[in-house]
Formats: sequence, C-alpha cells, structure tokens
Amino acid sequence: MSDITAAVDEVAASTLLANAQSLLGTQSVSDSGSLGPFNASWGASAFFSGGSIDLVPPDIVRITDCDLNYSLNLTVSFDLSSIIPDFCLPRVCIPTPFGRLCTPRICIDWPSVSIPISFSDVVRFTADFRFNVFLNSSSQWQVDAVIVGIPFLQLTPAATAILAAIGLAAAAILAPIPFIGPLLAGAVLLITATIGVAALTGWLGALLTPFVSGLSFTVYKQPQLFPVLPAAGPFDPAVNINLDNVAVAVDGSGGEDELVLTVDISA
Amino acid sequence: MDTLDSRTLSYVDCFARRFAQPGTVKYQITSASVRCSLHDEDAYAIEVRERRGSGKEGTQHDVTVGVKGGHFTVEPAKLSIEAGDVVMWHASGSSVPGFIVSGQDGDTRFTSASLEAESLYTHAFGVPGTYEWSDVGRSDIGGRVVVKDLDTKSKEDCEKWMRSLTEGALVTIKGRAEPQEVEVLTGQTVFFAVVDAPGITITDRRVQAD
Repeated sequence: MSDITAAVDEVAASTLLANAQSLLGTQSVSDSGSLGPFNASWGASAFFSGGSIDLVPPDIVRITDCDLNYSLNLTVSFDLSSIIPDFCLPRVCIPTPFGRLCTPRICIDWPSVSIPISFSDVVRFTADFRFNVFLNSSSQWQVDAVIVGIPFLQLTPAATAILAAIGLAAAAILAPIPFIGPLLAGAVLLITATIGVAALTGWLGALLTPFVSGLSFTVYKQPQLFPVLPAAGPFDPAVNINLDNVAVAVDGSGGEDELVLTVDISA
Repeated sequence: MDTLDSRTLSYVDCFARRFAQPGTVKYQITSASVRCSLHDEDAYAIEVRERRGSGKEGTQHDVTVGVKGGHFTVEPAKLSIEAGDVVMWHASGSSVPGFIVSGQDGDTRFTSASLEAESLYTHAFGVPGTYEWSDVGRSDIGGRVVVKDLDTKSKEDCEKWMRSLTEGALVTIKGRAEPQEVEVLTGQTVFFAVVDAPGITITDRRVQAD
C-alpha cells in the first residue's frame, strides 16, 4: 500500500498536455541536401497544439488529434539545362535592301534557377505515450510521458500542395527567361514530375517525423525531500519527508480512467 | 529578360553594315557597359576590294565576337571583301558581354550604337509582349513589335513553332520605320534595315524609362 496516492482524470490530464505543449514551444530545423535530382535548402519550424487525452489502462496515455503546425521555407535550385534540351534558333534569312541576309544559328544557354517556396500546413496525428519515472540530477522525482513508436503522418496531401506550389513558382520564375515561352508548360511539368509526389512525401516525412518521434513532456516533478513543516525556531527544526519511490499508472477500476500517482515516503 | 536596345549588342543581336567603297576599314569591339575604354582595344581590319563584275548582289561575311582574357576577340580577325558586300557581327554565345562595333570607313565613322545608312540591326525576341521602340536621339523614328506567345501543347505544335523560327520580319527605316508595326512569334527575329537615318537607336521605351 502506498503512502500517498493522487489521481487526475482525462480532463485534468488534457490541461497537463496543453501546459506541456506550451513549454515545448516552437522548434526549428534547417538543412540542405537534394530533392530528387535538384539541390535544395530548407528551414522548418513546428509547434504542437490541440489534442485530447485518452487514458488507456494499464500505462498508456493516448493523445488523440494532436496538431503538428509547421512552416516550411524551401529553395529548390537546379541548372535548367538539366531538364530542358539544348535549344538553338536556326539561321533566319530574309531579303533586305542590302541583299539577302542571314542571322547565324544562335544556341541558347539555359540559366541556373532557384525556386523559393513558403508553405505552412497542419498535420494531425494520434500517438501513444508511456511513463518514464526517474530521479533526475537535481534530486527530483520526474515523471515524463514519452512517445511510443513513431506515429504515421499523413503527408501526401501536403506533398501534393507543395508540388503544386513549386509548379506555380517555377512558372513565374521561368516565364521571363527568353525563348522558354513555348517550352514553359513542358518545363514546369518536367520539374514537378522529376520531383514527384512520392519523393516529396518521403522527404517531408524525413523532415517532420523527428519533430514528433522524440516527443516527450514532463507530467510531474517533485523534489525527493518534501517539506512538511518549516523551521519555527532554533529548537524546532523543519520537518521533511523523503519520497522513496514514485510510480504512475492508468487505473480504470473505479469506472473512470484516471492517471494515478503513488508515492512511498519515509521520515 | 529580353532587352531590345541596339546600343548594346547581345548574343541574340546582330549588327551588319554594307561597305560600298574600296579601301581599308578599321574597326574595334568595345564594351557597351564601360563608357571609358580601359584597354587599347585591338583595331581589326577589313580590306574592301574593287567589285569584280556588276549587277551581282553583295556577299554576306560573318564575324564572330568572343571574349578571352578580358578582351574581345573576333573571328576572322582579317577579312577581305568586295565593295558592296555586307559584314555581320554577332556574339559567339551568351557569355559574351554587351558590345559595340565601331570603326572608320573612309571618311565615315560608323558605330552599332548609332545606326546610319547602310547598316542593319537584328534582334531575336525571346519574351512575348509589345515592344514600343524609338530612337533615344532627336529623331521621332519609332515603331512597335508585337511578340505573340504560343502554347505548344503537342509535338506538332512544337515542330510548327520550330519551323516558324526560320522566318523573320523586316522593318525598313528610311526617314521613318516601315511598317510601323510588325507581329512575330516568340523566338522570331526582326531585321531593322537602316537605309536613311541620321544615326538612330532602336531602343525599347521601357529601357529608356529606366
């Protein structure tokens, strides 16, 4: 039998979740690499919001419909000549007042281009957490909820939207390039097809999953030495008790699932 | 970006001049962006011989302008032509910075930056739109080039467009531009032949406004 027992219901646990999300704040990551055959650099920031707690005996805290809100700044760079074939204007000959004159064959060097994309979206997920109870380096009992496994992020709609955004931005950036006009639609199609929804979904997953995969938040923190009465004088010292052990479980035996904290103490 | 401005010859432009009198023509290629010459640019020579036979149309000779070691180069460096022949200068590629051809033909100075009689300027239009052009000098010579976009949805469309690129439009300038307006497709070339003008430029009004 434990010396102290405390319990919180699912509503109270959801408040704990909101506090934990607030403490986590916005996280950021930036990197560069390749996106299909193209060079890419990106920065992403994300924060969590929403979700409700579902307590599942004996030891699972399920966070349902939690939102991962993310913003993405992506720049895709590539040499246009890698996707558009070499193109030369043929000789043009016409009669002029100075006789029949011909321009030379003019070959077009396609430039390198950078396509910047800004994209924000929300991806909703459900994840299971288990408790990790330990005495931390500050001699405090700490109870963390730690994510179990990696939740599946449904990213195909976002990838499709990003690809459409890349297509639009590419069309706007390529349009002023001389001689590309009649080839523009094909070029944009080639760019989006070369990247592809599947590859973009995989890339987005690799970018966003780390925000979620290591997710943990502190549910409870308490110094091991618990003050019961403060000192009242030189001959009346403070009274403290020692928290010897802390355990957390989900208990559904009372009809309602509750998060139960049990503590063993000694004087 | 497609800039119509005969004062600066780019890789989509050509400048040509007919040399009517026998003699030696000296010319230089200079940068269009550097007003003060930083180097003593090499002067190239064109030997203009008496014309053999009459009634025969002049021959066109091409000179390719390149850049090497920070200097403009021309190929061929020496040219021998007959009176009445036309020499056409053009850049070897897009890496060649904007340039000007200028020289001395007998008593007459000529320059691509100011087109006079017997000279021709061509421009391949790469971006659709309406190009209102005029002379940046005192003349009121001007005109309009309408460059139409086209949607190449099929292979046939592409082939049709490619075939159309061998066609060009001619604007003859003889006191005024004739016709005043020409319509071409993206990628097509307009030839501006100056038969009689006081030394003009063919410059997009948007460039002049900048």
